[in-house]
Amino acid sequence: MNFLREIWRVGLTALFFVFFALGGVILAYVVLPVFLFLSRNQEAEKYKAQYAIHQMFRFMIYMLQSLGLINFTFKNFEQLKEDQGCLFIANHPTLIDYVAIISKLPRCDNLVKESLWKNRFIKRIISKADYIPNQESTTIIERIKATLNEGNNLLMFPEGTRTIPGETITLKRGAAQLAIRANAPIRLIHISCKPPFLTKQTKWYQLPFEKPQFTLRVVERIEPGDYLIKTGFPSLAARELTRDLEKHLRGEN
Amino acid sequence: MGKDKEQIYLELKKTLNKLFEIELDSITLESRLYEELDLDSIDAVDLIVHLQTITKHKFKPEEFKSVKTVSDVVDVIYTGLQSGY
Repeated sequence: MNFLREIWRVGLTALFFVFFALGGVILAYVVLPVFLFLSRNQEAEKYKAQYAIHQMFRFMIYMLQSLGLINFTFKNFEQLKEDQGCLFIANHPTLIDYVAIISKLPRCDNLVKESLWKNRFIKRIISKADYIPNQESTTIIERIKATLNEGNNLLMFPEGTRTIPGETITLKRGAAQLAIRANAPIRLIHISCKPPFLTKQTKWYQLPFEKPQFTLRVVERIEPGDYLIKTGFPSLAARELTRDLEKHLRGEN
Repeated sequence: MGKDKEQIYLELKKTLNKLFEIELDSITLESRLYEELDLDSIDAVDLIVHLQTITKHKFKPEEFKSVKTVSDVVDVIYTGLQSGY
């Protein structure tokens, strides 16, 4: 019976990924053009695209949950509703962390790694949603500051790549630098997936025997101003903040 | 900040220590700013601004474009101060 159960789960997972890819194409070439046809200005276009992505991800999470492939628990996400101009920072254990978080956020900017801008379908979607390419350049930093100052929230994964199970989390300094320079509050989102699934090291069809339990928890809100007062220099504040974020995401605080 | 290269180097070391928590002992003239001393592009802007404050000399960002090591920074400051007086 175990064998049959395995085939069933792998089959469903495969179906899910096909569906996901197809969904992306439909989103890029059918939903977004129709959806955006009526919008007049660019800002409205951005929010409509973000809303469309949110709805698609919401549906995907719902499917994963109801097909019995993954169990999701979201904690304290209602706290994010009031947030404006915040950096949402999360650890990154799995492939679908972004999908899971955005399924709860109708509006959210994203920092997207450069390789995805080379994919034609994905580029169509993320440029409509006004997501920001992850490059270390003055223009990009200014763009991030601008969107935060307008009151938009920005999601980023400061580990730069998916967390390796069992290894200590180390962060790049970019997230803290941005928070300090843009004076943007940080919201931490802690993600855990047990047993590990869809990690960087495994293939999508290597399903754990037990059904994965995803837990996404909104934790602290951190004010960067406190760090600036404490250290005196923005460069020192960014370093101190990076160390604290690491501790938080490792679950030490 | 003094005018000869040795003095500039010593002051620069102090600055790197103060702004970026870099151990004085780990800084040499050959240290590479990004790879070895772990500066990022935002830090680099801070460093230039700070150098302007302590040297009272206005540097152009282009002057730092090709800077890679501590000794490169010393050279830019040295040249800047020479021309400034």
